[in-house]
Amino acid sequence: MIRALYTAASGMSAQQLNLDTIANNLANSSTTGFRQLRLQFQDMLYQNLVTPGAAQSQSTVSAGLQIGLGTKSAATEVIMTQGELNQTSNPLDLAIEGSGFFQVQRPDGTTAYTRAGQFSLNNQGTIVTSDGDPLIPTITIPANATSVTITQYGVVNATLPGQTNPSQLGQIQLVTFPNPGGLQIMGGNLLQQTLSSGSAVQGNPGGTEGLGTLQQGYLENSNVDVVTEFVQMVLAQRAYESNSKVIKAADDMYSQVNNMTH
Amino acid sequence: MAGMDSGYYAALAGLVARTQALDTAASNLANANTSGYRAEREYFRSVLLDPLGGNSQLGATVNDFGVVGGDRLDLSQGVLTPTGNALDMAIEGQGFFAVETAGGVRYTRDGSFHRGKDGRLVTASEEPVLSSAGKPIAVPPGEVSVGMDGVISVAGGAVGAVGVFDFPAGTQLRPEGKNRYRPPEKVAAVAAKAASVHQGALEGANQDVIQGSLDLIMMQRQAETMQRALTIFHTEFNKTAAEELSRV
Repeated sequence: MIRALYTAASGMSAQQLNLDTIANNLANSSTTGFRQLRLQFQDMLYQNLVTPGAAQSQSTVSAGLQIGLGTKSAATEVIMTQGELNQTSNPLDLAIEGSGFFQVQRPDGTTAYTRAGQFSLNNQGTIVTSDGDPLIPTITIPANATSVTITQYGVVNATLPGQTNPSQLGQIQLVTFPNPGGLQIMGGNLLQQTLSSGSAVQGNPGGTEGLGTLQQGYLENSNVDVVTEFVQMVLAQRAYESNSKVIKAADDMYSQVNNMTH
Repeated sequence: MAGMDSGYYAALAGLVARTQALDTAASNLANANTSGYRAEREYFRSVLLDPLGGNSQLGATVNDFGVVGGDRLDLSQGVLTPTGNALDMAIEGQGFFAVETAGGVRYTRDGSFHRGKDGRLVTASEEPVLSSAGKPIAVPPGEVSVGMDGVISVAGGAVGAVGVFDFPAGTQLRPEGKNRYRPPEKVAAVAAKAASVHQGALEGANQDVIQGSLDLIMMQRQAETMQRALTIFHTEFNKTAAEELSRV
């Protein structure tokens, strides 16, 4: 019975974490490039009261008696489905259609990865994220350049004064990972490479690596489906409730035993 | 006198059995959101080899609720929920994925797989998922599609097939935690015949919250019955016996 109390408590704390994750997904349902997270659970160790197949005095037991000790959260899975593309008409807004990531240089010199393509220019004309981190490879657009176009294959062109044909200013490259779900989330729409994600594979958009292509003037919305999250929230709530009922039942049974009269 | 005492112990054993059953019900409910979790169902067996049913209804009732004989995995299907992740897989029908662990091959219904850092298909615990031939499966980067037969294709070319295995009827699998099950020794897994793989979905636990709550209420009431029976056996019968015997 004491087991039941701890088991139910493990269920309640798992559902609490689940609700935290759902709340974060909902809060970010309109964050550009946000990736939905889902918590995964595992069952905990089992206590063997009777081992299956053990010989007893009279016969061999065909099935054992094993009591599970609850649940625990195992991993947070990043759901990597495509988000919807929203038209913004800003020439430096880029959306990736496919599984690639942009590379950006953090102030500490490390490389981070993002799906949020809200780029702008800094005071030197370099393409940077909304936090001011430069895009890798660095591309600078002169102040007097007009009609910046970025093709779906990542080629950045602009017309310079006195020229009729646009000149190529750079090539945007994307990366992918053996296991994109293993990237570490750093906040600020940024992700970081980990041992579990594997090393980044770099290439031009539209190549054979499955990086996807770019859409200029579009931003990728979060891939959180609000309706699904609401359903998950109701399920988490009910599961929390039933685990709390177990605690009540165990407590009632225990108190009855304590108050048994002879 | 012997009959009365054995009834008393039967009721006591029944009460202990209910508390064990409550532990299992708690574990089933705690895992209501665990992918591929198979609920445990207890079965009870009578406590006395020679039940008192012939002459005492109370004795028979108590005896029928005897001790927990063991528990079996409920292998019924859980609900499939789409996730959108290309390497998430769910089994519809009877069967298990095979996983290579430090302790040997284990079986699971939790198909939340991903590409490991060495490019192999692995579980959430980073353990390789095995093919139908029992080998780890290397999945090169690229667009993945998984057929109902478990064949994995990357960019249109087949790279391997995820194995789905089943066991002879009546095999008792032992849960190990981490969503893994272990077959008894000397039992060999065979290719599942009535199973299909669904890509981009996970199978939920087969414990629904409503059934779990009902089980809980039943367990509580049965425990109350056992406690009442204990009191009757102990107090009423002994009192009657003491009073009647003194008159003889």
